[in-house]
Amino acid sequence: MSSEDIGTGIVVGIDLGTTNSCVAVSADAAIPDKAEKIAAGRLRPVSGALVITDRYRSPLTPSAVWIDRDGTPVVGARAKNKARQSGEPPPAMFFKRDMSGSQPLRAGHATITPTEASAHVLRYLRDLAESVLDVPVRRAIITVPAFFEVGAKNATTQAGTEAGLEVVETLIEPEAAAQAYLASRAGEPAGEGVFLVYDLGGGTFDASVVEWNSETFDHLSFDGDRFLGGYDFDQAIVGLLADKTPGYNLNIDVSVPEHRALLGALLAEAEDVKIELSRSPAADLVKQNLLDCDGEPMILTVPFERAEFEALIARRIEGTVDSCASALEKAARRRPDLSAESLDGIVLVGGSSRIPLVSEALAKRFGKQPELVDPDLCVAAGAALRTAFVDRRTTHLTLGPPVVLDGRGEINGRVLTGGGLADATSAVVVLRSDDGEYTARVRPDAGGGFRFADIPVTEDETGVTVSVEVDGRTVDSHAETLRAGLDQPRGGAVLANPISVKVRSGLRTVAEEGDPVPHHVEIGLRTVNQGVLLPVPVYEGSIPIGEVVVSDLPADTPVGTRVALSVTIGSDWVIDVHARVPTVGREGRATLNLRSFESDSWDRLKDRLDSVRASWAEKRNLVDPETRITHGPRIEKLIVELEGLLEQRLDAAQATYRMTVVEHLIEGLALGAGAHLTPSFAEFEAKMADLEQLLDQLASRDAQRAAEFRAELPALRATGTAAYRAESQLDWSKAVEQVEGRIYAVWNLLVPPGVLVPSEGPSAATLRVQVLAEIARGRDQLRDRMAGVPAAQRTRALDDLYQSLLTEADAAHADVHRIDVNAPDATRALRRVLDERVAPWLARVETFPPIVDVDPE
Amino acid sequence: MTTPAERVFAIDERERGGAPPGRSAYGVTWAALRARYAAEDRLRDALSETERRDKELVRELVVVLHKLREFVAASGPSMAAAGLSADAELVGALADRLAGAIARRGGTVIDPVGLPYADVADLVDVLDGDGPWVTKTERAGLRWTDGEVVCRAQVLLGGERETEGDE
Repeated sequence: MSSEDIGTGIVVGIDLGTTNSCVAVSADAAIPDKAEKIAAGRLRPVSGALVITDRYRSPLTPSAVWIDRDGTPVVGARAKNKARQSGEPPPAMFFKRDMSGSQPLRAGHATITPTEASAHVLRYLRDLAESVLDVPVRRAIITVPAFFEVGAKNATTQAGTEAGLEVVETLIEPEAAAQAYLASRAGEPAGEGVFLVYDLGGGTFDASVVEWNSETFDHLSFDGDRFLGGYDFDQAIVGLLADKTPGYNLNIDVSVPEHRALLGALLAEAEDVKIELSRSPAADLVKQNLLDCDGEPMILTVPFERAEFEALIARRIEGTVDSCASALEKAARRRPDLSAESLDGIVLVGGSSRIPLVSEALAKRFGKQPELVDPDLCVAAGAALRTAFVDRRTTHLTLGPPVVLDGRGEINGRVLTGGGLADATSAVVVLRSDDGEYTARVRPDAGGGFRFADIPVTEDETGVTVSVEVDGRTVDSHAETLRAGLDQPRGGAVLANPISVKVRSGLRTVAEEGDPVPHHVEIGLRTVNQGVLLPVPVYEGSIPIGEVVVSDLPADTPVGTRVALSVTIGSDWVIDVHARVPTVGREGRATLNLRSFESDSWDRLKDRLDSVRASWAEKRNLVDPETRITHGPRIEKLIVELEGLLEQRLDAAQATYRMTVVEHLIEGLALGAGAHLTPSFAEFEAKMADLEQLLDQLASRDAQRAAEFRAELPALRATGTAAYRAESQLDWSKAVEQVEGRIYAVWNLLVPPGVLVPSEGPSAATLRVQVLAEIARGRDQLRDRMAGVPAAQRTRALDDLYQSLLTEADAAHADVHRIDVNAPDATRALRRVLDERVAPWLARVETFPPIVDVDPE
Repeated sequence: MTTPAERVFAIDERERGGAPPGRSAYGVTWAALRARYAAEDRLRDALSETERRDKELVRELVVVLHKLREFVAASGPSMAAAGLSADAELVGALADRLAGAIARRGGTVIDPVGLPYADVADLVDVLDGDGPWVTKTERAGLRWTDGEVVCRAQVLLGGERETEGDE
């Protein structure tokens, strides 16, 4: 961006929010007719900043984008309204959650990326700011969540560029809120302090601990729930309303258009009740002219008490307070003297933090009264305050952020040439304090650089004007304010989810949620069995993101051998994992990308939900009662939420995230009842899968018989499931035998005619076919497993093992062929080969490549 | 214990009435201006807080007014049939009186039933529906005398959409 482009622009602070966005400027900014604009409500003073409002004096713009048929973008409330208009394609909303990905979003009549959607919102805010301020807006500080990784921050910067804004900084939201909070305490000494920032918005909850050390903010820790907010509380009130009005049918199915309209109306009423209950101990929901789900007219006069609303949401609020405690604990690891008592303030951010229970629960837990500083606007205000640290650029001037130490100020800058000023050294730069008490002059160096040091700061803040003069004529000037105790901020990025490695006994956490990045940790593990490959899977939260493998281990490496693991999470959000087995001199290294998370398409999400439903239906009665009680409600709630999200088709990121969570929950369920039975339920499922595979083969030869067998599958599965659930070993064995019998029968139909000797029992010829088939199956499996080993891990030892297993298979194959099936002891001989050679060989094939498990030391 | 010289100096400071020695007339004027600006800010904050409370109150009155009107529209005929016309008219009259009070305070009720959605799109939140007309106001909105939309109306849409050929 050239100096001409920058012009005499102003720097704005932008809160690019998940649901709403907002733009603000510093109250010190040079704005024409500032007082009139404030009086007219187009600039709203908030904590030392001025929030810019639209023509309807609204400071908030919904973060929604809708593209018209002719490609014209619609941003804000009009775009958001499209979400509820059934005849219109939906707008792009909640795209901030997708900023690290490039998954296309539906935005009305176009498909755009999350970055493009953000650019549309930023462009709208920039245009709004320019129209209100009457000055060009070319630069901005944009706030981002603390857990935004570099990719998402870069995408935010890119969005700014596309909107014609130079993003001079991406500031983390809790620091912006704390900045506004500090400004709201103007008059009090701005000394050191540690603050808990509690941010409960429409759809997310974040808790952060930030430290102000008189010069900079340090983001100490983070915790939260990315999908909890005020909307959940509105839904809770609608649920309570249904309980209170049993005479009406409020069993709402959002796929029915009339029900959807009813839900919309009830949620609007619920929001009113929630707001009223935040101010009064009781509120009535009064509504008529609505039809219930049976089409019956409703007359609602339903009293609500704050106490019952609080009881309804108490667990969730308590959960947020637990998150705060967790954030404090994490912060205390970095500041051992930090405790709830030593907090200097609790800052409430986000509209839902107005609920009185929030303040009460926080005060009760931490013994300190939280403070509410315009929770909807304070993040934008904080960003605007931070613009005080940004270089100021005018036609001939660039000024660095002023620094004040011990009552003396310093300003560095540069004189820009062009536009009639050919040589910077021909100019003189003059600094005058607004009170006329201090004047200084310097001549810039050849590059235009200059510095004013030792500027007296006589009050809390001192206004100065820096001018460029050529031949005694002022060609440019800029007003500046020097304040005590401010300096440039730092980054503050933290992990949104814990990072763990999987060991035999479960997940071992190596970095906690909220730990700042970069992060480095070293841990010791020990092997718990023998093998030649040592894989260590790495998880973010409950989602696997990759693994590091130590290959080529000597097969006789003793159990209990030490494995040193180091994990480094860089500020670029890349994880370097290094595993070493020092005693044998082997090591492995992997570079993993953290949170390369992308939303799925809606079609893919629908398929995944179908699969989740089927898998839960199958497992729900097999898990032990305790697991069912602890996990069942959560799984079922997630499924219901997912159904709603898929119906609305607005928030793909949330749907993808919740889908992944529910899938992992179901996958990790321990099947309790029948756990002692043999074979295991997994083996039973594997046999059923084998049978289905054989039936696929049979279908190409004898479709009718295949269909007959296939018709038996549901009964076989039901019998097996019932026997397992009843924990009856006898019934379970019979059920498994039934499946095996069908496998055997289908196999008989598949082998070439003439080879089999049909009889009641397995003849030697049949057995020989089965043994040979087993060997062939094992060979295929071995080849597949070898093909699955990455080239980098194909060591000589592994290759030798592979070849030796193939050789063993060939030898067994040849021996089986040598057995005369007509000999009297043929069956016994075949059985011996099967039991003593083929079965152990198959067992080794199934564990190829041999894996070493580890556990913590 | 102060020395005589210190006492003299202390008296000298009080006599200057807050202006430190050595400050120019320009500096003193500037300090006075700052004090005035600060007082103006405080006054503006106090006024805006009063206005905020007014808006909050009127916003609640608008909700009540809308519910009263809903009641009269829905129950008026049945009340009349039951011989309670006078009661219905009384409620209607009270609603009108409330509307007058809201208007006098500077509020305009946003109840756009029957209007084209395109004309009121900036003043409403759509709850559901499809079509170019506002068919129902679920919750009335409030617009202030200076143009501020204190609260958008919440509406349902409907009606026939013009086909491409009609346009």
